[in-house]
Amino acid sequence: MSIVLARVDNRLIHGQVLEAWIPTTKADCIVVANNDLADADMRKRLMVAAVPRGIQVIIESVENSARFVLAPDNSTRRVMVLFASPDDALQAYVMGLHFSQLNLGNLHRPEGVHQLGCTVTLDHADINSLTELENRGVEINLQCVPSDRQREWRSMINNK
Amino acid sequence: MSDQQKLSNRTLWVVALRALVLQASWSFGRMQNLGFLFAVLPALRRMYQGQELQNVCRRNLAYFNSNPVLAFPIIGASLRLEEKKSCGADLVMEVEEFKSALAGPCAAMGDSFFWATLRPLAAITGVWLAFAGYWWAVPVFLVLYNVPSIGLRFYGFMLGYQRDYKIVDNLQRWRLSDLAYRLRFILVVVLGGFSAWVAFSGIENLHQSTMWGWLSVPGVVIAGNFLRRGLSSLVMLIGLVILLWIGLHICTSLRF
Amino acid sequence: MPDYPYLMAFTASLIAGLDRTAVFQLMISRPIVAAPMTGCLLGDAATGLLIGALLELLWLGRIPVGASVPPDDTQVAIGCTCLAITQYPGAPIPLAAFSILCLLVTLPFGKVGEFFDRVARRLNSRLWMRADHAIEQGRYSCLTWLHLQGACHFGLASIATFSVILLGGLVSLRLLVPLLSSDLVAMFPWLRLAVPLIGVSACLCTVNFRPSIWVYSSSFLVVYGLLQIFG
Repeated sequence: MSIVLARVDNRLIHGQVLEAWIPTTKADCIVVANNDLADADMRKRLMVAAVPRGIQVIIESVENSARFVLAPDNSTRRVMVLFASPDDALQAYVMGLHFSQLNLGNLHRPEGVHQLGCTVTLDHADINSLTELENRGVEINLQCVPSDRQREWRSMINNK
Repeated sequence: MSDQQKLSNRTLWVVALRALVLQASWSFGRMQNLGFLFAVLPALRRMYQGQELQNVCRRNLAYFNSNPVLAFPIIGASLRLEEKKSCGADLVMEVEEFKSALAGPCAAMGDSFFWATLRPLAAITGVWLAFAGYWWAVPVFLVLYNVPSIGLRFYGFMLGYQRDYKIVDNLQRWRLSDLAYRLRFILVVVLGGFSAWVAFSGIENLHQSTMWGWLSVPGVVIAGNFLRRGLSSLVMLIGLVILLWIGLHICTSLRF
Repeated sequence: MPDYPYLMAFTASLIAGLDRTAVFQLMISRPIVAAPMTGCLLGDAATGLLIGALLELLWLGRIPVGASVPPDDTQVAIGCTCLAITQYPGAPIPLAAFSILCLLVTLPFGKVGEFFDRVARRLNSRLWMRADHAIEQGRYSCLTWLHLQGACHFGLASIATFSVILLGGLVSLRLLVPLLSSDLVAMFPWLRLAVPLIGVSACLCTVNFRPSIWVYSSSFLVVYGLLQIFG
């Protein structure tokens, strides 16, 4: 298994992911690890329809997603994992889905306390999860699309 | 249509026309939220009054972001749902939830079809014609892009209004992403043909042997590698001008 | 040329700038349309068409996905056309070669557009908050004006970008024309060959189509072969 991108994006599958990240990472499988979506049939169907044929889409709970990525059958795939929140990312990491970098794409919190760049707002719980991930050796950075500059999240928090 | 219809055709038209300026107040944070409310407002005012109107407007000011074209079916469908709700019907899924469920995937489909496929395809066709010296390159580009885009906007709006939840089936059946993938094949073929034509006519202009033109394929591939590594095409262009300038000066000084 | 060329160019800048994000998206904002339109208004559509085609190619691959803001190709196209037509010094430099020089000096200012666009989008955040207040007070007709005010922000951002491009372009032209004018004539055919190829390669990089290199090369080989046999 190789995880070509692990990303926190509360819009999950959308234009930026399909048009910008898939071509640069050459991913052939998108795993959406989200507990709410796993039984929302309508959203799931639409998401699958949005992805062109040839790229597999797996929409499962965080636990099942981790299990899917770790399965030995999937060792040759180039997987992109999408989380809706830093907490989901942390859960997956704890379950053994290890990624070395975590990309923060879009995260909108109505009651967010930290604004990082234009598209990411974090609340206290998010900060805690991200800090925990960082302590486990994950590099966390902000980047909307590959053509943007990659920025380290700590430096942006301290600026505020 | 059912007896629960409160909206006249005129109101529907007004909403569809207002949806054309969906993005006028695009903002970081909530993106097209005010645009969405702006579009459906005339209809909402016909359905609700007083406190209820206030609540429903608040609800419609929530975060919303989609592709400007595929937002139309969402607006149509959620309008029908609001209408049903105002008539007291029970909804399987709240309008809010429905809107946000559709927004992301529609953005993905719309962006990959309209922005990443149809527009480059129409543009390269226009550019080719422009290079060949035809002024009607411009109308050709506009027609190629706008006929599908405006058509799908109004058709999608109407279909969304008629089918409410079931618009999901239509969106799924259109498989715009697969269509986009197939159109990209044509796009790449046209790009190849265009490069060949540009290389051939450009080298004839320089009075060199047209055999040199074959070098443009590796040239394009090498340039592509640099671009993919993050070098911007602007830097590449300026570098090229400097190289040409130096080259020309060396040539002239060698000749004399 | 009309009596007030800059006024015309500013009008074009506003119309195309609004089409870009705020209103309709009829693609009047694409260089291939915006530049000939400006050219038409200033009395030289052919120059506009050449500039538009070259710029369109360079930016073919940029996609405005989600919240990411690309450089303002619209205002570059209009600014470049405006400069090429109004500042043309006459013979011995051919107009087409001078257009390419204008293109080179205006291109770097496209980045400025990103800045103004972001400012407009930030200003717009206040609009929906004010809309929230208006709803609370029951002033519903106010919502329409708030929304359209967002379009004004985008319009102003376009005009601001255009002004910077125009001024920056004028200054750079003053510096570069004496330096490059004699070489431009010789460089023009090379650039006319190279710029489209750079554009094509940028587009090939971003197009999300797996076998693109193979399809591209075969298409090139077939067409080039045919041109060599029959051309």
